[in-house]
Amino acid sequence: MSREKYKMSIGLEVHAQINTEKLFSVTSGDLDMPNSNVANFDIAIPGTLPRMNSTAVKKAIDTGLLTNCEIQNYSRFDRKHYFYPDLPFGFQISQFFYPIAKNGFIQLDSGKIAIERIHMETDAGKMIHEPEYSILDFNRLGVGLMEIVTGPDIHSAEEAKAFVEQLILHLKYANSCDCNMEDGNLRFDVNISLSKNEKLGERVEIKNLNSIKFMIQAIEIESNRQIDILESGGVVYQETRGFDADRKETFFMRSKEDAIDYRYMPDGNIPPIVLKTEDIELQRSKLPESPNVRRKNLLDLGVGHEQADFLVNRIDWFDFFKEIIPISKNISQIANFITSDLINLTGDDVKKIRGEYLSFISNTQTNGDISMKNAKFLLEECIKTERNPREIMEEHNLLIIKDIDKIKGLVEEVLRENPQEVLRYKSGKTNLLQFFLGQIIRKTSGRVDPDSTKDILLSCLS
Amino acid sequence: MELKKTTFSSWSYKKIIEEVQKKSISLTEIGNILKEDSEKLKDLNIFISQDFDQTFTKIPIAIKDNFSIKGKKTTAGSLMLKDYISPINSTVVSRLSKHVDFYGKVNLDEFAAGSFGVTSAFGPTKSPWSKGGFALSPGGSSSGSAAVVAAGLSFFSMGSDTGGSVRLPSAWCGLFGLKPTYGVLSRYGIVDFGSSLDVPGIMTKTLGDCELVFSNLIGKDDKDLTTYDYSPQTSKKRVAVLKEAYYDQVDKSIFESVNKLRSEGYEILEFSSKYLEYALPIYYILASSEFASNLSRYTGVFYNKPENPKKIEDLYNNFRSNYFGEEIKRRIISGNFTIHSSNREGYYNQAKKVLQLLWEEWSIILDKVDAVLMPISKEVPLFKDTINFDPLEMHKMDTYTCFVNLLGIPAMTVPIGLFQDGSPMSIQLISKPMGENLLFEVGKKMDNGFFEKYYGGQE
Repeated sequence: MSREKYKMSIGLEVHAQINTEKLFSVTSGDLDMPNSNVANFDIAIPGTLPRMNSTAVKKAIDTGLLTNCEIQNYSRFDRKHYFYPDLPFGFQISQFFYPIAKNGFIQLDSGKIAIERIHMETDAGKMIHEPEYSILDFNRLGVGLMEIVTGPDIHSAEEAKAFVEQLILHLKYANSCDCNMEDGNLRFDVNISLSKNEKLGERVEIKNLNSIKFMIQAIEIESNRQIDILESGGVVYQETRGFDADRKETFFMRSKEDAIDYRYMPDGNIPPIVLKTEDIELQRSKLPESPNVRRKNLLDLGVGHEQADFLVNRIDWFDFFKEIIPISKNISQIANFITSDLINLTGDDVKKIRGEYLSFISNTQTNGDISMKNAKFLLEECIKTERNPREIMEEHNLLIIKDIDKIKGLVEEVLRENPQEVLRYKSGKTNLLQFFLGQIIRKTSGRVDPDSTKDILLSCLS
Repeated sequence: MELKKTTFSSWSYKKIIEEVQKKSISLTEIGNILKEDSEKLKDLNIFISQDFDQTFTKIPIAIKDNFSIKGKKTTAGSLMLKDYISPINSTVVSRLSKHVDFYGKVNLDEFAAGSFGVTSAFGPTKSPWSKGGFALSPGGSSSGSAAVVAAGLSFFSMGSDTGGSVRLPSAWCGLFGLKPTYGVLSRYGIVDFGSSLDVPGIMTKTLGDCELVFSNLIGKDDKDLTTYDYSPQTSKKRVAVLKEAYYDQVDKSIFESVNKLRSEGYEILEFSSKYLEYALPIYYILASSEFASNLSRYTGVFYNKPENPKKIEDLYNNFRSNYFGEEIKRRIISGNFTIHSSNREGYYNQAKKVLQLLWEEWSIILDKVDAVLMPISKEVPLFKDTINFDPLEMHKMDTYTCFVNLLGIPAMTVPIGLFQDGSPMSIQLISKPMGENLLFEVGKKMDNGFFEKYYGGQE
């Protein structure tokens, strides 16, 4: 099998749309109405100047911090020049020479993937080609992107997928990107090279993949194409290719020689971003822990692996969970309730249950004051009716009966009502004990503790 | 020497404000006079557009046609923007609007790139000054702004200065011309030339007018990230002159001014600049790079009317070939050359390094003094001799002005007399960042009555 001789090295450039206003302009239009969300600056009206969206910068910093990057004390915006109708200025504003963040990594189970740099840049407009003409929509023009560039550390399509999933989780922790691929929030350029030794082979870039699915397909198809070339004694050239999802093939776009000279130059309208180390540290202190740290913390709290994985991946449920930790007695039970009950009962909507209610129910059950069955009944009721579980509990009389005499009375009552069974029990049918217990539980709607009730039953029957 | 005089030639901006307040002249009268007088001086080709249909509620003035006025044509002297109507007000226009109305937009070198006022798509402008019956060049790129003030057709005007475009025409037309510290006046709404060099500049007949307009325009602008609030600098009662002699006659005037300042209690230092001779090449590398970048927006996709493009390249190649003038193309080509990846290190980055040396050299002397006195130019050329210019000779006009933009410092043209050939002569004052107040102070001490002598006015 020739394919196994080759080592595949993949580097990703992920373009993540920053979930805030445009990077250098203020707009308030309707995104669904073409060309309504456009500022004068976006379309390069002469004399208009950029503003600075400091929220976008903060979100890029957060992303850098969470992916273990060094946030740079000095970063700057440059102009990247090329002519295209979706780019009214004739240049894109991008941090080419001095990116905001450098030298980070994301830890996967399979190894560390280096994040070489994260830089901010502006998105272009959208161009739709019709046979006779083309249409331009500038709503997206000027929206801030983070370009996240990895080292050539990924060695398979599966690893690329795992990386992107982890990256998405980090972006969500930073709250810097909505990561909806249908909306184009995330787009990928993939660099693939194959080699028989440790030296990297010639690099082919596949541009503009807009889903994880297409990224994986493109990696598989392109690596096969390159292996076929190499196996037949051919040479792979450094070039840029596109991916045709319908025909399931990559296609030639341009060679290294055809590459545009972008004539990078600092943007004189935008002062550099100068950050003091103490401000960066202050920002770090406001951030949540990274997903890996969060998982470890959850396991340390006694949360099960499956539940911990769920909570690490679900910020909404984690935040809900985290808030009630201080008032809850049985942390792992809370995690279990969330993953096995609340997801279904709430239709996976964290807003449908109040943390203090869940905590009350769990604490009451843990104290032995209600049965597990009634605890689940309470959960269901209080989500359905949006009422305080304490009220529901009192109304339905759910508290476990702890009065021994009362239980004794109930036991005697059940034995009186079932004389036949008592006789059969006494003649050796001892498995009828479960029957009596069941009768008592039914009579009390489960409000007795099975173990202590069993003891009383035994003593009454002897 | 001869200066074409009109009704308001002898009126300063301050005087017209007083007269209007006293109601000795109405705004309508002013408007009518300006309309009549500008008609008389039509052959100077000062205006690109005029609007006398409005009812003036403030003193009417004219402004360089690269300042955007909302709903008005803003051509920047280019065919490319021949019919372009701006959707915005420049900050200078917004701030001035509290005090003045705008009745005219005046000519300039195309996209403010030029020194003679002859590259405009709307034809060249002549100076109201003439010599032996021949009009002089008004200087550029703020050619119309200088001519309109010198001709008494605007009580002051605004220009833009990227390498000397306010100071040179001010010198050639006998005006005070202030190029402020970069960032002290907002660039918002001025058609972009060189983003790190452009500043709006003030052109007036008197120093008092210049100070007044400056005070109306300062203050950080949220629409321009490179602006900040102005804070005046402390006087050290010291000025410097450059040891290097430049032009005999100007040097003589500088010598006289220095004597005047010495008698006013100023200490005089001598200063020699090793790096000044590199300013012009540095400037043409950096300014042209920014120019090329800023003019990338002008394509057939967005401006003017493309003539049925067959393919997308037509919207770029043909369109830009047809609608840009020769000087613009020269600067775009050289600017793109110097930022091309294969040349960037040798040109753009090298220019930045030498600029750093220039800055280190000048910051030492600027720190010690209130102002450095130096020339701007030699005798003013005749208009007819500038029509077919040699580009390199034209670029050399920026020799003593462009380093000021590179350093982001303030400078001011002070009209000081006439050359032996009768053309206006000026001295340039240069100060440290935010040293405008020092320029005004030193300028006042040096002022030898140019306004009184040649405009017949009274300060």
